Amino acid sequence: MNFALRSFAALIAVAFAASAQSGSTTPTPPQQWSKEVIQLFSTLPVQQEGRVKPLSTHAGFVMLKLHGSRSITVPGTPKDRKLDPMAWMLDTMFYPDAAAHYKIFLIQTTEVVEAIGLKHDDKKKRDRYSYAELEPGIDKLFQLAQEYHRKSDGETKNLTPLEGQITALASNVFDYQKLAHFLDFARYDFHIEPGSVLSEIIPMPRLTAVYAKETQLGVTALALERGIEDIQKNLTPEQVEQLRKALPASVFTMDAESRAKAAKEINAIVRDARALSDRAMGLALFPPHGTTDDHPEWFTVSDAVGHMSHGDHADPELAGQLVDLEELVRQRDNPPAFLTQLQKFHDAMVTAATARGEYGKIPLEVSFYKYNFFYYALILYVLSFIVVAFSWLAPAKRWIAYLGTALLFPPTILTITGITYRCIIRERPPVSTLYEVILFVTAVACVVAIFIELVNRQRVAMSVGALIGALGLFIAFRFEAQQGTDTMPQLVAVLDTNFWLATHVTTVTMGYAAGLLAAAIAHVYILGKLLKFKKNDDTFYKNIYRMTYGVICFGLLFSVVGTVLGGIWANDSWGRFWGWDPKENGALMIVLWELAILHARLAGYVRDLGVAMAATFNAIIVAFSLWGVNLLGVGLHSYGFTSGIMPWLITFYIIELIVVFLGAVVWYRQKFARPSADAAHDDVAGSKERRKKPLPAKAHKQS
Amino acid sequence: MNYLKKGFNFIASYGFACIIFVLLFILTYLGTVEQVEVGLYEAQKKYFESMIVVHWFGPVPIVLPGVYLLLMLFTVNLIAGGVIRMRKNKNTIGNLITHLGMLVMVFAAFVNYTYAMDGHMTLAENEQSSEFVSYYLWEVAIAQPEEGKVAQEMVIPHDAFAYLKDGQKTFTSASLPFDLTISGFAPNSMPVGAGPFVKETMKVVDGFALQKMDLDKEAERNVAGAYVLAKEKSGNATHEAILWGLSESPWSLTVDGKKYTVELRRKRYPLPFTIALDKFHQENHPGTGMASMFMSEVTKIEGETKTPVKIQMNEPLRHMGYTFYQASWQPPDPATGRPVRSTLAVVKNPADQWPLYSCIIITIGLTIHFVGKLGKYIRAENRRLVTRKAT
Repeated sequence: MNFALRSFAALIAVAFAASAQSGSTTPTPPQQWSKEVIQLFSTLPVQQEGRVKPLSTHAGFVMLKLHGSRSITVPGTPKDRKLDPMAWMLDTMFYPDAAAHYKIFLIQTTEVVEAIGLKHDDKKKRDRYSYAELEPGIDKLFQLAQEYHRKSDGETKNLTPLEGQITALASNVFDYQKLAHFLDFARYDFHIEPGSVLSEIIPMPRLTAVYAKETQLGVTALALERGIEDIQKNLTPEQVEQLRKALPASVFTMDAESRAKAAKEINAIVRDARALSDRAMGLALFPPHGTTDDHPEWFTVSDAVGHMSHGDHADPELAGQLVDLEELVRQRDNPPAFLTQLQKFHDAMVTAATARGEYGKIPLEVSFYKYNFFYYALILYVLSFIVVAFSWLAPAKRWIAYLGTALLFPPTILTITGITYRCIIRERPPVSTLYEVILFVTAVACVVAIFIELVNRQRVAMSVGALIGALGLFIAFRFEAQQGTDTMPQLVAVLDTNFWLATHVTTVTMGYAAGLLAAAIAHVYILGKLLKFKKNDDTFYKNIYRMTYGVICFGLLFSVVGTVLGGIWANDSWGRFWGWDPKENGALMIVLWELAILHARLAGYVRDLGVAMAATFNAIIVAFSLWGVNLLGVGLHSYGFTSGIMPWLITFYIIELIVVFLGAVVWYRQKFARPSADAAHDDVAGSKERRKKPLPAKAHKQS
Repeated sequence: MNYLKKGFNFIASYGFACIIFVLLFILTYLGTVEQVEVGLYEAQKKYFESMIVVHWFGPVPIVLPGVYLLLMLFTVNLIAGGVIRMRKNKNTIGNLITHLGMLVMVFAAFVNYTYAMDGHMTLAENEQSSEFVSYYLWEVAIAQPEEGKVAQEMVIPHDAFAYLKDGQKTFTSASLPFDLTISGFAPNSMPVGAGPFVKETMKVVDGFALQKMDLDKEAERNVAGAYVLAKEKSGNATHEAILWGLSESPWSLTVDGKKYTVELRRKRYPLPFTIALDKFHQENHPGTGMASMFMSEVTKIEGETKTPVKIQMNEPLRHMGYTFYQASWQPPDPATGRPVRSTLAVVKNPADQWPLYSCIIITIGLTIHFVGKLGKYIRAENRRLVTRKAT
């Protein structure tokens, strides 16, 4: 982010806000936007972050970034209103004075508030604030953010946590200001004296009217300042005639003093119009004419007004769209007229986007977020897990177990459907971002768990599947909220290859999924042994061990192939097969550890419990490979760098190490509490005798 | 004989393989984390291209075998245990294929490490070149420029002066009227003007001393420097200078009435053909600073034959064993008038596509092995379920 520039723009916006809003009427927040209005705005295309997306998608991620969730409750009459992102964005754009009192800014600690010189007496440590509450500290906020930006060279990792939060808040406030002031241009009425030169040129005191006459205003101001006779000296007779037609009649009869005053008024209104239009840069709403190759960038209002008054190059269609938007804003308190005007504007935008081939996926994306596949899948996974838990409490009632297994299908299908939607919308394979890795890992782990359950019907795999499904989607939600950015971003040039995304990335991610699933199953083994659950049922543990081993084998296949494919991709894009880059090394570590597990088992170094402990440790390696290396901030996979997840990652490492330690406790208990002969099948390591002869020979046969 | 058999059994054992995997795992982790501190190049040399590693856990030194040594041991273990000693039957066919695939991979890595050359070619539009330069290696080039002629160069390679134990070395050639002594080579350095900030121990030549600097984490940013002393063979006259990798022009000296130039520069690799950059394209995703595409339109020139080619990310140019990749680009600099430049990574690797073959073999092997195992597992579970229902 060019923070200096953005902050500067923000300061201008703040400074201008008072004057702009003074010209508007006192706003009355709407009780509710109609479904039709919400639907039309939701399906309005907008170009943000390099891609064309529905406005509702943009609203969702702005709200997530500012608020940490996708809904907000705001005061209303007779009862409070719960707003979704689209409704909140409409309130913010159309009723900024009312929206300024919505508690939209999530601040993680009151230290941030103190740092910008505000009080927080009635607030919790982590709480939400309105723009109105923060406004007195905004100058200080931007000042601090600029200072930190200079100090850190723009690198978030060089900031302390508090500095990082202050910088993030400044960015959020700026985003908010862009939205709140986006339609100021349409609300604002310029002051024009009746009977003045300006009133002869501009029929309405609106921005579009000023820009439509910008050339005439410029010529008139020049004529008023320099005198018509002076200008005429350098013109041909035809040009003189044109000039006379362009100038208002009163210009020819004014005295010198009136001319100077009129020129000053014209210059002032042109200057104000430019300042006003410069602030309307938040949304690129207007598709340009031509193909996406010729004109890839859409216009903001600020860009569009520039195309209204360029003589022969003026774009009357675009000018009409701007006037439509202006009229829409002015109809905000007249719902029927507002809807009619919105429909007109919406149709024009959709037609323009369709002509460029950029609208096709918009309705699908709106549906994707509307259906909320992953949210409902999460609820169903939790439900499935509850049923599975009951099946353990009443093992004799097998119908509960069948129900639990059956309940695993709908959320898994929903998750896969959601992933498929994303593939269609993006025209990409399922995994190209860290967020998609989480979704894909969850789906693969659940599918494999269902498969295992169908094969052995031990209820272990379905339990683990339900838990992983719920946890995976919960983490996906948290990650999405923590990042607060579009989860369908454009890709950097090196990733712009569907072949390698479909082969290497998909394969290696399946390896990650298997590693985590094996670890989860191994948890059941270790914790079951620790709690002496089914302590006399050796077959039960033998089955868990087989499952763990099988999933590790599955994981090894995909990890090896995925890692090698990654090397082949690197050879095609960077010129070397293996560069010891952290991301490559992370994948290699999974392969090496899984190979070590399989060979240690064959060598008799570990047996059932040992495999379970090693598989659990593998979860740490997978997490390090998936997330840990991204935090190192070195290497060629810079597009995967992330921040803000270190505490979560360390917590995960600690939990897994505790489970490994508990495995050691189980081993210790077995070794010293039971005769060695009884412990044959569940020793962490085989006895010396087994290691020496029978096991390798048997292992060779097995292999 | 018994010991030989025991030794063979050990190096062919699963246990030995397991130990190697664990050690490789540990070294991979240490080498990855160390990159944050010392950069990739140094970490790679220390952990991944070494026979022995001394890793410091705080004040405690731990000696470990390096990855290079471990890979040699792994190869032996793989051949002895995974191919020779392994029982060959229908149950092990998948494993055997996998191990053969891994051997291909290891052999490819060895060929790559031993014989591959890599570097880059940086061109502005309408420039062309028949050589590429190394990222890390340096050379000293001595030439006798003559007007209207391409100067013949004598080159002292990197290894001859970069690792001098006694600090200096003298190079002589029958075709040169002087001997050249190189001393004080610094892999990262900066010439500084003599003054109060120059230590007394630093050698000053023509008012400048060579300041040694810490190695950059990104090794290609290091700029080497060295002192050189040319001693005329026909007398005792000497000429002394500092050579620095970023000097705008080579050091020139006149001996026996003839002019010579001496230059420290990044190692150059000649190409059997020429690459000319016709046009460079760079595009961002609309409204962002994120590159969506960068591409070099080049012409491959071999004698009279000119072939236009487009090189972009994931679409390299392969020709005569050389591969050209779109690596990076430098925007134009209005201050200096420097135009936009495109950097192509250039690699010559005899084992270029071997990992692909290896990957195919390993995939086939592992699939056969694990699908077989899965089939057995499913059959066993079905039997168990049938038995359970019957009881």
